[in-house]
Amino acid sequence: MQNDFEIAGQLNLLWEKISEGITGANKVLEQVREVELDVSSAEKAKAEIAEVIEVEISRAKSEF
Amino acid sequence: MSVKIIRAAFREIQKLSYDNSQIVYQIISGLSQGSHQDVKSLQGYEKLWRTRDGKLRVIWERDSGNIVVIKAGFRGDVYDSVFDSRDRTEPLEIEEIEELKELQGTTLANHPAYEIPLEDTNWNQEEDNWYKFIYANYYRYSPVLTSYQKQLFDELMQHGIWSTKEWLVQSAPGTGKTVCAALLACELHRDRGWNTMLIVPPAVREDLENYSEIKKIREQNSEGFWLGTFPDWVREVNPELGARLATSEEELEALREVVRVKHLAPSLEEVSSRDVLLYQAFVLKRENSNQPNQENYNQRRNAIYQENENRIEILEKIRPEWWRERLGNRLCNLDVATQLKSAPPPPPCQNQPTILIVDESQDFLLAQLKALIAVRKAWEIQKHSTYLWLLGDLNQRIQPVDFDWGQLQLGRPIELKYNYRNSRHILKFANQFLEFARENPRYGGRHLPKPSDPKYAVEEGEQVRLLEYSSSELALEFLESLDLRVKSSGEGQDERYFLQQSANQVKVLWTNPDENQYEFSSIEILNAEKAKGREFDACVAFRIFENNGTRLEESFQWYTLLTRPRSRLLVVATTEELERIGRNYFECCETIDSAQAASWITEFASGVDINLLIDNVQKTQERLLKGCDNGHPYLDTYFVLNLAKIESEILYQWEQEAINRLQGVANFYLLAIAKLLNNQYFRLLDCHFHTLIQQCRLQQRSNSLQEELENVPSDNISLRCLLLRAMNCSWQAVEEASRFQNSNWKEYKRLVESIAQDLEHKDLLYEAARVREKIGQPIPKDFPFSDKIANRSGSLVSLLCQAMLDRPFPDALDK
Repeated sequence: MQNDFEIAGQLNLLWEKISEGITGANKVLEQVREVELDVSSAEKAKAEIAEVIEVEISRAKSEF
Repeated sequence: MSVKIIRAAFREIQKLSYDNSQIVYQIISGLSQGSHQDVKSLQGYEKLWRTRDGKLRVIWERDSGNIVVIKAGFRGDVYDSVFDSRDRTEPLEIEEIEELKELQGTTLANHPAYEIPLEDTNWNQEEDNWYKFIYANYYRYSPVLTSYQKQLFDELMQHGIWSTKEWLVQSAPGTGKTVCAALLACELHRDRGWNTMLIVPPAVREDLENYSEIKKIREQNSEGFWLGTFPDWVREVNPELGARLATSEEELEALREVVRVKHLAPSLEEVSSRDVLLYQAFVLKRENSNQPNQENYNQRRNAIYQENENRIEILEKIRPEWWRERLGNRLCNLDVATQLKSAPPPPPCQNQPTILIVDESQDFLLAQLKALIAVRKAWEIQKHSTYLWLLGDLNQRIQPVDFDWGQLQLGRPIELKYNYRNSRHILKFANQFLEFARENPRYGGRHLPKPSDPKYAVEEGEQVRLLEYSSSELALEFLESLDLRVKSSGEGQDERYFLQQSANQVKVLWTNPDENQYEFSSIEILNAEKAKGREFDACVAFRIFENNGTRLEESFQWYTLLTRPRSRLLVVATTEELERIGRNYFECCETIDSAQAASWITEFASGVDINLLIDNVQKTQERLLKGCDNGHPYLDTYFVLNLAKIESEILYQWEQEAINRLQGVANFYLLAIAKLLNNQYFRLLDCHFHTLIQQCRLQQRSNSLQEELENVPSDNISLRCLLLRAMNCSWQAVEEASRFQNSNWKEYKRLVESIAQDLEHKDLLYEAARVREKIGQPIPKDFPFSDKIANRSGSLVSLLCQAMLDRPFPDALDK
């Protein structure tokens, strides 16, 4: 059974991972803004952002 | 088989460590079941027995098939040589055996004794009953009547009660009036099926509710048994009138309002509850009377009137109609009593006779007692056999009321003579100082309490000891050495048990101590105010004869202080004090040296007065916290917190401080870091760093707390929880608390709620919510993923991750 610090540590790490995911996603957004936005590129960007976050969360989960 | 323990045996058991006192309990409960093995009788003394377990001995008498414990303790302390000598060739020491049969020159049947309610369901259900019984003086709630008390009332029941239906019992302090009132009420209800109404002041009601006999009746068959205050009684017999009866707070508030509105403040100044009673007893009553002149004459003869004449004259400025107007639709106590007298309520429906027993009558308004007499007569006329017993002592009046036995015109009172409070030697010594005041021409001996006659003291006791010092500094050194002696005395000072330790603290009566100046851990200092109303087995009267106010005031104070001990009194005084008072007052004392004095006074322990713990709640809390400072909290911590009525938010605050102390310096270090860092920065970026430091710092402390946890008995659930909380192991604490789930839901709920609050303070809001689920509180709906986490066990982060992954990406981003 985890103690409170271990739980707090893990939550912080999860937050870091999500932050990293969001940072990655923001980069994708910036790239998308540079090109002309059409429906297909918007869908593509959305999928990429989701993937980045999902990867980070999966990484976080695998660590706990 | 019932087991009684005489009071003198308690001070021996209280001296024992917790573990040894438990062995004594095992012996006693074994005896009650007839199962204890090592039992020897004494040849020629068929009633006397001793039972042994290791070095511990219990000496007891068989009395009509029941057991009376006379002594308990270590071999040397309980005259075991006498019992073992049967197997040897030496002759028996008859004197010692005789003393056991007739301790202090009084037959055992006349010693105050208490029954262990071993067969009560309450006793069997509650934990630590024996501990509470011994060290917290709960034994006093299981008294048995002495043979003298029993005989007196048996005679009354057989002969007197049928001829006269109103009886007075007037007797001095320490004679056991309340015990008699309570036990006789129980007996009449239980054995004769009488409708019994016990009417007492609020403080006595609270005490009586703890009596095992009363608890038993209330559990089994409470119909026809009633206990309460006078206002409760009015509500019981006349609900309509009772509903209009003002509380004492309402009475006081109304009187204050009148003073304010009518601009009477300059002469009346602060109006107190004492004024409310004086006003009703002397001003309002005269106004209500049909014969104001006669009433005026009666009042002027009343001692309370004479003592408060000036104040009453000022109170006369308040017109009754003003006060009544302020009270609105509420009625004051005097008016309710007057109405009850003029229109008594109908009698109870029961066929059995009714008996009204009033304790501490001296603190009732005369009109209230007259109302009771009128009600009794009215019920009798309506063919409902009704009796009235009034118990009280004019000399123990604490309320400024017009009570007077004479005005009740009820004939000659019965008197309880025997004094169970102070030994003969102590009374003889203390009475000298009261006599001084009684002989003072200013008082003319008129209204002063008559001292108890030493010849009726049940215990002979021991001579008062006198320890003389040439200076007050040297006297103080004695206290310091006494403190050290108790601290290092082993058996007498069990460091893990607060109550046991407190019972063994030496009680020092000191008129004007500067408490901040002296730090004693094994001595309890009580000034006159704190000491009043308390009693202990042994006390030190320390420098009480120093110049302090007028001689008359001093005399009362000396008398009050010197009558606190039951059996042993050590007077520590300087030569100057003795010369000032006069050495002749101390001729009856035995002079001893400091070593003898320390050893003599520490031989007796006194149970802990729970009211002292409650009255000095800050001190109690601080003393309990001191146990946490070294990482070894008192094992009876929660037991004491409960006795001292520390609960709810105050209990949580105490726990927070205890956790801080248990965590020690590491915590203070971390708090300093936290203050240095910007809160957000600290939370988001440096939390990991912070966590690492915290973990390192606390690791060492955690190890010692872990060791401590291993030493705390498994049934001490709340304390184990506290240690786990101090180790930041909240979920382990929840698991520990869950052992209360079926046996003590209230404490389980409190612990779970406290753990949740701990987690909130650490910003672990999800975990706090998950903990609260255990007591039926759902996770708030506005918590993201609440439905995915609700009622799931396991790691929070895993659950959160899974919940996030379960979201239908990438569509989730649209929301």
